[in-house]
Amino acid sequence: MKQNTKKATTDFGYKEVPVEEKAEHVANVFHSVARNYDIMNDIMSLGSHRFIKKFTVQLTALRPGQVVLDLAGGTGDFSLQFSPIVGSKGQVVLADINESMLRVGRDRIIDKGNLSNISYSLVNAEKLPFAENSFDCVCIAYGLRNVTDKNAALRSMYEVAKPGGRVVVLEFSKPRKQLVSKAYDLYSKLWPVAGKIISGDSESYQYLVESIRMHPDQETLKAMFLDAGFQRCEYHNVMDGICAIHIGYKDAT
Amino acid sequence: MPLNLLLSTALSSAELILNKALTLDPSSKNKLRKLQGNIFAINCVNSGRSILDYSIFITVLDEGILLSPVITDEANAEISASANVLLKLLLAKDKSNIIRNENIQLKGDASSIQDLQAILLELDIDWEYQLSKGIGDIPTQTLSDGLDILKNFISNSAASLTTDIDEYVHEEKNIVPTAAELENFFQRIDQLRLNIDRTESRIDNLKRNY
Repeated sequence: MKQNTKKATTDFGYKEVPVEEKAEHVANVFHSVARNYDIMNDIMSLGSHRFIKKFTVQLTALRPGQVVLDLAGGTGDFSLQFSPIVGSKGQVVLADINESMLRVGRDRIIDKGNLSNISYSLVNAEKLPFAENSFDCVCIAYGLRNVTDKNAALRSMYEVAKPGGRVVVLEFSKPRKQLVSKAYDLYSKLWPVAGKIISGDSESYQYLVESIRMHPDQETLKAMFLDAGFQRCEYHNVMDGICAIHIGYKDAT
Repeated sequence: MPLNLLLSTALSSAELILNKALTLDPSSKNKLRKLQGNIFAINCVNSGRSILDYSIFITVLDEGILLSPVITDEANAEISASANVLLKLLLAKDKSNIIRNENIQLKGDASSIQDLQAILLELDIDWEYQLSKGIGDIPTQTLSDGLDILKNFISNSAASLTTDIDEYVHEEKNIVPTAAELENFFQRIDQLRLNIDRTESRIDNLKRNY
């Protein structure tokens, strides 16, 4: 976070905006993309986001009866996968800061007939309104980079995780190979164009591209996990590091 | 072993197929309910070949099963063996024979892991019935007959193609020798080796005498 003489600012894509305005800017982006979010995901990731999400679900290592927080869960993709795993004795909380995204997710889940073990919560990831030690697992997928104060969010997630619990973060990261990096850069330049055609909004997708570039790389995020209090942290690169899945453990002792 | 997307995708595909099959066979699904909440671990141990060292965890859920490469708790039952022994165990009818004779380690409640395997292997899906629900009885019968004809045609064609290729390569083009020629060649090598051995011992004998 950079400090200028008047106001503290933070990144919003490549732009610098006052800290208190980033959440509002991000909210506008997601209000705009909510309806076509899943279609755009398919286009931007060439369908691979489905496999990556499944991999993330496996890494959460959830078991029947556990309680899981699907943070920045938006359109409910993850909650729908968590729900049958934790079963009738478990609980899934779908949480998002953005009302439009949460509404799309809730409608989608109810339309699929799932009324049993998913509840909904409009929350700010930096100040989670849950009791300490509540969740066996907190999962945030493609959400952390949009949070204004990522360190505060990680600390808050650590707090609400049960001792012995874990926090799983799926996020874009830095490709390890130059060639992959170049190809990916080139491809992502097309996203705003696709966004313009499909949802008539290229700016929001331009922000997505820029925010991915500004997000900390694998090792930096790992260091942030350890700073937030996690005893152990490991990460798995996906597709050469285009995405990375970080897992932080809150030890039972 | 670093977990990778490929293994994960393979597992989730297998999980999808098994769960789909379970929904199509209600009696197996009922049997599976008795094992609900159990976690089974399958450890594939191949010393020196780390690429084949992995563990798969099977969790029995309310509805269906979950396959996963990681787990946070201990499994109720664990089975560890090398890849080929695991494959043998999966395919064999008489499992106790393999468990006695091969190097397999079982931990925990081994009988429930056998129950699970029996349920998954005995999945009996009436494909024609499932299909007829979607497209009706007569089209299903026609399709089924058509598939039988296609299956016969493919297996016959494959057999005759194999024979033709065999003949072409061996007899017409003479690219590789036939089995009989090879047999003859090996016999001659054996004969030659024997002759050399005899000559060698004869030379030794002559050296000793003169």
